[in-house]
Amino acid sequence: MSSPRRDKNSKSAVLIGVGLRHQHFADALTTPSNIDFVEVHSENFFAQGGATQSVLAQASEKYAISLHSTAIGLGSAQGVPSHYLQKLKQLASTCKPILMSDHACFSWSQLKGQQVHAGDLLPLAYNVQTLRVLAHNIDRVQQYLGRSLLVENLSAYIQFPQAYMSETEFLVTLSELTGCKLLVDLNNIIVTANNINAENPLAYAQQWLADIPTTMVGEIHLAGFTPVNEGALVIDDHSQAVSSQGWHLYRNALERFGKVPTLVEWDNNLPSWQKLIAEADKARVIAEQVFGDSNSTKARELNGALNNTFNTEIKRELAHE
Amino acid sequence: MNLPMNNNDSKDNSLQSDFEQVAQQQQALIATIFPPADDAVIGDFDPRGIAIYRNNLLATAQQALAINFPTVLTLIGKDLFNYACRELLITSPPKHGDWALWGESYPTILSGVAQLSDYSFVADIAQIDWFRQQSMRAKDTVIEQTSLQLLATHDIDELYIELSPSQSCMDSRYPVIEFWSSNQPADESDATENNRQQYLNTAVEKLAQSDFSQQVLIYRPHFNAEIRELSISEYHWLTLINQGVSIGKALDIMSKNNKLENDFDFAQWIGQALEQNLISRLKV
Repeated sequence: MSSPRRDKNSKSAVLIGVGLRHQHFADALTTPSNIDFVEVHSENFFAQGGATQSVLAQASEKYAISLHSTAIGLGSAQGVPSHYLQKLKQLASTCKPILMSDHACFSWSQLKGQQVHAGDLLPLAYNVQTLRVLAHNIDRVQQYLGRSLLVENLSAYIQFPQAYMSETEFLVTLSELTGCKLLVDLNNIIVTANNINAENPLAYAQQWLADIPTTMVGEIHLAGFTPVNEGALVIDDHSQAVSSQGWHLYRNALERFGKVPTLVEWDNNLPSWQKLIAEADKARVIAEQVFGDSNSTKARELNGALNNTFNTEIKRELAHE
Repeated sequence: MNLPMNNNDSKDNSLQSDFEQVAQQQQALIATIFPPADDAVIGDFDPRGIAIYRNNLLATAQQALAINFPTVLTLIGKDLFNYACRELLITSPPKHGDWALWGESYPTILSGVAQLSDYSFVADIAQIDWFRQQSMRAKDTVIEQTSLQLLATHDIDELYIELSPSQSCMDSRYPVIEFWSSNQPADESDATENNRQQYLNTAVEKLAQSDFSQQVLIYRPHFNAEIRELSISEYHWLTLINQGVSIGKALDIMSKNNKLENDFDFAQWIGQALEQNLISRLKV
């Protein structure tokens, strides 16, 4: 298994990574980057050969890999087809990821009597029936892969009328049933808070975190979203830098869940690789602050870097927290 | 695993019942999102949310097809391309969990689009795009050098060629290679424009030939898939080899085919095939 490139002298040692997307392949492979791991979307590397496999092999040499899937459809009552799982297992055996994850959603179903994949992360009805379907599928997938999965909370745009559990009650019970830990996407909580018209989205999100047991979180996702006009639903488009609310919540999350691997996602309206890495640097600074590790090598490097013009911007933003 | 039970009498029946109930709910949502469900009843769902899922589906599908069929997009423009994309979602919704594998039926959809009835070569261009994308995803292969020694130790009637999974053949009634090449993205230099014009001039000349047809090979020497024109003899040869006919038998069939010019040279072909990574191995 690949070892994360972590600073052994660092007391905080929160693993910090970024999402690796096609447009950044060249920069990621040729630029020294202060990150511990990269996350790739599994399905983008399902090809049996060709250039993407070569890129993944090179990335695996340079970074630890997190495999984040977007199509397992863990909550699908249709079940998860074996042909999909075979590809995922093959990929995992090739790149030996430090983490594997997908979402609490469904994707596989039937349309006009034929199997269909929604191509999207469709929401689940938070009730016992769906919980049992999801837990059964996760159990099967974990058995097949021979390892545990992290399951991510979703940003949903509809609620099922059949739902009667809260999202956190649903996820906590799921984790207890299956042994899988949670991938807490802080942006998704904020998006959901906005879309259900929570009076105070940040307070909603903080309560959401408080509902999750402290040992149940295996990873944190950070991302940003495009602001919308009043009355419109927020779309989780991963097209912006992490919001100030997101950074605030990240600090809360680290204080509650401890040294949890953290990933900055950016999928649309992609910035330069350097700007993406700078977002990861912000996460690292917060982690160093939370865990009181100002003397670690990385903290010293970052504090030094904060003196330059580019990172003055980071400092200013963090000062607002 | 200790799942919470609704009814302790029958764990399996209860789980099966749960699956059935949840499946119905999920199928109802899917039917609401996929076209042509634009006027479908959305029940208690927030219409703004359903609109987001519908838009997501169309946008993702269009993006996936644009990757798989870049030449077609250039050729017919976004509006028609996206119209055909929606038709494909209706007739052949995705089923792999991998958008890169969606679109095999797009050439067929394009051949049925009324606005393209005078441009039936577009479907063939789509076929080239599709084969190229699949070629670039195919398993990497390098010829098993030791298998070539079989040529010295076995009769060719007993020998078979396993072709590389990254190669495909097709034929068309149109000069699709010239059409395809003239629609590739390039810089805006005069040289590029001149090349484009040359391709089109050649295409017009070929179209003027009676009973014109063109045989095309899509292959991948390394990472990038390439295309080249095949002679009719080589096309028939590759067709026979793909069908699992032995080397000796295939050569025999070709020599007896009066419609083929007697221009196929196996020794010459295998040299070129090795250079172009067309062969995985020879086998008995």
